[in-house]
Amino acid sequence: MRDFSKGKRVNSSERFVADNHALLQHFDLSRNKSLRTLETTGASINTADDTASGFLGTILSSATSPAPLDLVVIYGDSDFGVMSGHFRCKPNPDCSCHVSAETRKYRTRVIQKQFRVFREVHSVRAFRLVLCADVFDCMVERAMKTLGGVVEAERVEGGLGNLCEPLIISERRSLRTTRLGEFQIGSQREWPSLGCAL
Amino acid sequence: MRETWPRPLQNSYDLGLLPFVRRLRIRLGTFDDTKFTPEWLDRRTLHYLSALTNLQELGIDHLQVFSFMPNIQQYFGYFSPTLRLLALKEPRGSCRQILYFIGLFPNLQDLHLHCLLHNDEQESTVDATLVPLSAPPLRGQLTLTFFAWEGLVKDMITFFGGLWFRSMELFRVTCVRLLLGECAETLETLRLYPTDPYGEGFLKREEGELK
Repeated sequence: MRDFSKGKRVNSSERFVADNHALLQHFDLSRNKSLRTLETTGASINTADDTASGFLGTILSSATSPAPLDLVVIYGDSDFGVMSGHFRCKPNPDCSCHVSAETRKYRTRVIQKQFRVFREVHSVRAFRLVLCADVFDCMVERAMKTLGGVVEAERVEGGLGNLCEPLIISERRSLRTTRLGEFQIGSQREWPSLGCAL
Repeated sequence: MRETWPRPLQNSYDLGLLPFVRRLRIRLGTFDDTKFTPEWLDRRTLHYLSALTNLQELGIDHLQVFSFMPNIQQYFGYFSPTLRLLALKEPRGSCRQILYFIGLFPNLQDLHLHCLLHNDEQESTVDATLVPLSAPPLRGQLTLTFFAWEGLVKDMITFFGGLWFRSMELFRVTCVRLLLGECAETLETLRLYPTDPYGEGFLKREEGELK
């Protein structure tokens, strides 16, 4: 088992150990007895890249809640290749008209790559993985298919490891009263303005 | 100065639709000098707002709380019975003034605050006597982004008798430890971002850069 709390994973440099300690000081879950769900976004995992598993693993290493834990990863429209300029879609059961086949393949690979993070974090603290499509209604079907395809591909390749069967859901997790063009929280390291206060 | 509101507000009023509105978001654009002050709320607009009798979610950008004092209840009291979610982006005012505003809504469950440019305005003598009119339950979701106003959180704990949020979304927040500890018994869902430049050191550095 990897011990994220002591910073033994991901380089053994002093810098990482120091950051890890600060992270634990900051996000200390040891006193929380009722935590059932840790949520994050696919976009922020992508952006954080190599540090995502260290971040999530370190925080979860401090969790002492006896309740089973869900790790909910939220995927927005952009995770499926729908960008801000495409929000005026006409009623259509499938927004694949906005996303090319190449883009869909690329996005699928990007999500699939995140399973490495999930496996590493799972080695620190067991959880049920929940993949949540938080997308426009017209994108729900496409998003669910994509997520299902990712899980299936991982299963075939043996990439699920010790992860139990991931749950795939479609749910509105973020309020959307703002324009799509605004940034999502955590999707960029330097986030220039508020995206969604409400 | 007469400010202009979108026509749908008036049209909806004329059609008797405002009692069906559940969510109101007041955004003033992206200019730094745009503030939401009493000048935006003339008699007619207040009349429209008073028709929002079932409003549950209210979001206001750049609310200048201090400019509404001491009669802020006259402007926003209409929403007291029904409001369950309050979202404030860059509110301006002292801790006591912000708390007083939050306390106008006794049924509030969810609170969203974004305070990158939070002000360290000194509490005036008058502010020191301000006591929130109610202690909202605040048992829903707390969303804090770009938030380094620990004093406000401490005052909330003091005046509302603690915090009991069941869900939190945090990004670039300094007082995470305090929040997690305070809601240790109630917190069920926590949303974090691996891109979060956690820690006070980062925020202090950034504040230095802003100066």
